[in-house]
Amino acid sequence: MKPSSRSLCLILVLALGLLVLMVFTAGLGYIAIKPSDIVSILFSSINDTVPASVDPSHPFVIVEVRLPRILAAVLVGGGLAVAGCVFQSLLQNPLADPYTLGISSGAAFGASLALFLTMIGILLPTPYLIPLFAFIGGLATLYAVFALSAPSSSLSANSLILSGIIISAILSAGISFIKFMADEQVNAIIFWIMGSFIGKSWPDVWLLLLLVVPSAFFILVHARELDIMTFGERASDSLGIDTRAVRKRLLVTSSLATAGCVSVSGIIGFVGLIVPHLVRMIVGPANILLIPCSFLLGSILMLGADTVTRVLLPKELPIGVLTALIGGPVFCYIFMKTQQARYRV
Amino acid sequence: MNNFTPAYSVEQLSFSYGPIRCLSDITIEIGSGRFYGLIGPNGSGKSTLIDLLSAHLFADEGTIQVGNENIRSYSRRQLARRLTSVPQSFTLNFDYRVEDVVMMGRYPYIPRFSTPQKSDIEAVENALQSLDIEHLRTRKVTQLSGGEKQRVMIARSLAQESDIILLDEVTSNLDINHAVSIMKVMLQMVETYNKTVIAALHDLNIASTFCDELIVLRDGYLVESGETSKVLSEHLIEDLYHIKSTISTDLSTSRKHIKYQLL
Repeated sequence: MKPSSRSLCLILVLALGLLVLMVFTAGLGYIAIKPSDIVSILFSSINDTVPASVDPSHPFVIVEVRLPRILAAVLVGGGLAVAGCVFQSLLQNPLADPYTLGISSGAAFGASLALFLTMIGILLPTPYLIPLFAFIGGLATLYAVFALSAPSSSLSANSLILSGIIISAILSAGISFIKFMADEQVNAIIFWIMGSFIGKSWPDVWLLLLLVVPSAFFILVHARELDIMTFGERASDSLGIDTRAVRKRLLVTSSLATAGCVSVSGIIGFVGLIVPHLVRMIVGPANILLIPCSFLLGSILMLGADTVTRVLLPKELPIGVLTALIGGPVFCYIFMKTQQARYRV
Repeated sequence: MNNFTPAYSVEQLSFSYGPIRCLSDITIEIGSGRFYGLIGPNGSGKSTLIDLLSAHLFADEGTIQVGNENIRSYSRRQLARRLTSVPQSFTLNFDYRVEDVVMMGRYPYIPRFSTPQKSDIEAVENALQSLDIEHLRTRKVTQLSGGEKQRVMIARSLAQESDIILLDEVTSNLDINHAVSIMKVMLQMVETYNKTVIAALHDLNIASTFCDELIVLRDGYLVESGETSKVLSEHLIEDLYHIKSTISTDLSTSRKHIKYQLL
């Protein structure tokens, strides 16, 4: 499947769009900064000379406050969208998303536990305690799901999905229990779970860069295998893919990326489900195009949504709520429109 | 490949799904360049044998040799160049175009980070032509009828250009016209390109018309194997399916024809 020049153009346009959006949104906020000043501030961080025309407080606002948040949104949006592509292909199910295997529930449980333990004074509130617990929770869930579906020996799609649902249900009960125990301080837990990019700083960005970017490349390299594996295990075995090994490798990679995203931003739904669908409608299902386009579109949408909550709304709405509120109805519309056209019977 | 190297040598093969024994002590030699029909009642182990021959499953006991080497000694990619299998059912959830699906058959030949070469494009064209689906090439597989989907899957296997083709009841869900046209393509593969075809079949008249040899399974055991005209008998059919039949021989083709006594 050779990417046509038209598709390469689309990737370029999306990449350019993302870049422009990043510069543009960096200027928006309580302190408005001109795009030209932003560009000179960004270049100044390379050669260390801020032009005299720029307000001396602006470089700090851009580099230390807005840029990390923007980059975090971009990486989380892209990471979740790419993970969505992988889960949909591997689980042979267009309704799968990065949270299908319960990684989100595991991360939420880990974060809730961390919050609760600091509330009752067992743990001291250190800066990266919550992301750490969330990350461990996400990975532990993946391990549990693998262990639960292992007797079927091949990690078949259905047993993975079912295991994910079971583990999620147990963890959800656990989260409810922690919320109940937290009593009046339950707000912190609820707020974390709803997802947000408030106060994201450079260490968050480094963590995401470390997890999301290599994962995305690894996944892109396996684009052909992902295409073939949507046809089922017998087909991919017959075509010369070591299906079980490749499936496990890709599930672990995309789960690492997902766990990283969730532990930084909380649970932001719909991006991982909707973006691959939107992109498939434009470029078709071939993963070699689907993956890069999904990354870029996921980034653009997430940054857009985060900017709306940060700048436009009078009070910061949790971004998870916003993406679900906008994404849900949009998805319904697309689904209804394409449903009759796509299936003959 | 000459006719003297067997395509497969199967020795004392056994396989169980957990506690359930599916195949017991199968020993058989499968010659190159012949059309084999794998017959037997539902649950007799046909699909399991196909799965084992295609290395989708591996045996508990016994060995399978492909050519002169154990099936386990091949890498997946090497094996995909030697043999291909078309499953009975497959999932189609995404709108891949027909020609892209057939091009997936070239996966074992195209290195990572590389694009299809002239030989790959030719193989895809030949496969599309053989199954008469050239006109569908830009259609989406999800929008095709059952017969068309099955032909796309077979075209993908042909694009693999392997010497051995395994078919697991691929014609079961098709009408007689589509079933026969697929079998004709397979016959051509055997006769013109000297390929080995092993097809699990339910329709004994199709088996009798197209297959050189039959392999008969019942309850996981090998009942009989050999030339179609010798193996197929009224006695065997009653033994396997508990149905009486009369077998006549078509004088022009010398193929056997089975008439079942259904009532």
